[in-house]
Amino acid sequence: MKTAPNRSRQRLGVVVVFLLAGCLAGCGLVIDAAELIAPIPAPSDSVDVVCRHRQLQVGISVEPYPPFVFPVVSTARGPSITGLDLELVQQLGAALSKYCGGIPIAVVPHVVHFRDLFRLLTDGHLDLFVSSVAYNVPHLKSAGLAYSSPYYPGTGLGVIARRPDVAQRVRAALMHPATDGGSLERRRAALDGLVVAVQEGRSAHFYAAAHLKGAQLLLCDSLAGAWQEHDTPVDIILGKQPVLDFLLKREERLTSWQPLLLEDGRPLLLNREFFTVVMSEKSFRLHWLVNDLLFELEESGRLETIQRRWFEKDYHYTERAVTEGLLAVVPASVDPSAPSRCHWAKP
Amino acid sequence: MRPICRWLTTNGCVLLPLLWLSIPCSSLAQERLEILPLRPFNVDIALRQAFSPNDREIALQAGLTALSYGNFEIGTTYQYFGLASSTVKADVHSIYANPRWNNFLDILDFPAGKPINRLLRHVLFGPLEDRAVPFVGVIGGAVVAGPGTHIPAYLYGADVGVRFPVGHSIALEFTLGYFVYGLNFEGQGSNERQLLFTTGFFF
Repeated sequence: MKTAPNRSRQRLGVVVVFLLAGCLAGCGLVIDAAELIAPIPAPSDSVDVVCRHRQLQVGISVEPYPPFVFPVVSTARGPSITGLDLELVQQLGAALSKYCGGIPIAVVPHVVHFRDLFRLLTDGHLDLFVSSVAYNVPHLKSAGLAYSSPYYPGTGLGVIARRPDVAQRVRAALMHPATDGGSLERRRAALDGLVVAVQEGRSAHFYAAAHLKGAQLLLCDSLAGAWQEHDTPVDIILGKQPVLDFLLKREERLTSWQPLLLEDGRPLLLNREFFTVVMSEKSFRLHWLVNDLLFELEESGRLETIQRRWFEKDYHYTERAVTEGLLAVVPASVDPSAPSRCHWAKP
Repeated sequence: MRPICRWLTTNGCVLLPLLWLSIPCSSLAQERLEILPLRPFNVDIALRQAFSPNDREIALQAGLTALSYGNFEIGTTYQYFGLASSTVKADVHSIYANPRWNNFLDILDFPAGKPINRLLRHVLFGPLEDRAVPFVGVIGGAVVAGPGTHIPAYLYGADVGVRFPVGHSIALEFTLGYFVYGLNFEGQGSNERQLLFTTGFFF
């Protein structure tokens, strides 16, 4: 039999439960009330961390994207890395130095796998990532990250073919009258039945998996793996057009390859891509800083000068790695000199 | 205090060298040591009220990050359990440190073709394999229980779990912790043990 004090305690418990439930439902108001007393300080931004540690931790893709990111070069000083993207982050380091009150900021490139990007940026191991990343790629791997303004003129995914007959076949398919799907559908259909090599985990892979259903897909660690000999010869490589274009001009092993062009001589593009600097979603101040710097570089013409320096000048990247490259942190699990591996995508 | 010393020594012998090996020499100088970064922090509340007299349980837990260095993180947590039933009535206050090794699976980054860590990540986390931060940690601290004795006793244990960063500084975390208290919840001798599964948001 319940006694009176027990019953009153039970009622009190129920009241406490309802009060707590009410508090939880209105916890947003608790923040409002606290802000009336004193403003709640904003969480520490990654720019504060950069200034405090005098280091900008930059992620660079293991897989090279010449001339944006060249392969890691062993120098007397240690592993060195160079490229357009590295020059860009050096500019950013200088801008951050000014922002931090004149403290020199060292740019530390870390060679990482693209797949680990979200975790590394979100957990604060990296401040930003550059390696010709396009922001407009609808995929889980691209979600939850922040992207700067573009630092390279709008380009897209282009195609190079190994043999003239393949190029001829695609050109012939492109001559067919446009279907209801329009010119893009016609371009995709022109690649049906071909063996297409792409870099795994990057935009070309996601695009091919989503749109090139009629092609046989070979996934490679790097572009270098795509032009190696395989049991089933690769017909075409799908990749970032400026990278493919640069490689066709500079890579000796690609002399037999040719770009796929439209009738009017323009490159055959399958989408539009804008290369950006990637950051954590919460790095608002860093995001503003990067956007401001890119605007300044573009307005002053320096961005174009940097682009010309890497795309048009005659140079060898190993020499630039020695003279102006940044010393890179290469994790033990990453072997930049390892041969590229390829495997067939599951149908 | 002998059991906790023995336990920590045994586990420390295994965990610390593994942690050390997991940090590549080249990156040692480049990791940033953050003292009292506070984030991620968490506040968890659990309340159980039965419809019978004197039968309720209140649990409150609040924690913050005291130190972080690469994949190594030390969290500190205050934990309160209020137990009331016809057989047990106790208030348990604990404070403990929780050194953690995040992404510990990545030590198995071999062989080159099919690394074991990638395989495990895929098996355990599926499509979120690249977005999960699995961790393993040890727990050590002090506990005071009442009514009765108020002399602090030891508390030790271990935990394993996974954190999924969601975005905008919020992460979803699942933790399974095993706790051994140097007293029972009524404040007398003998070891009270507890397996605690928590899930919640970290900010």
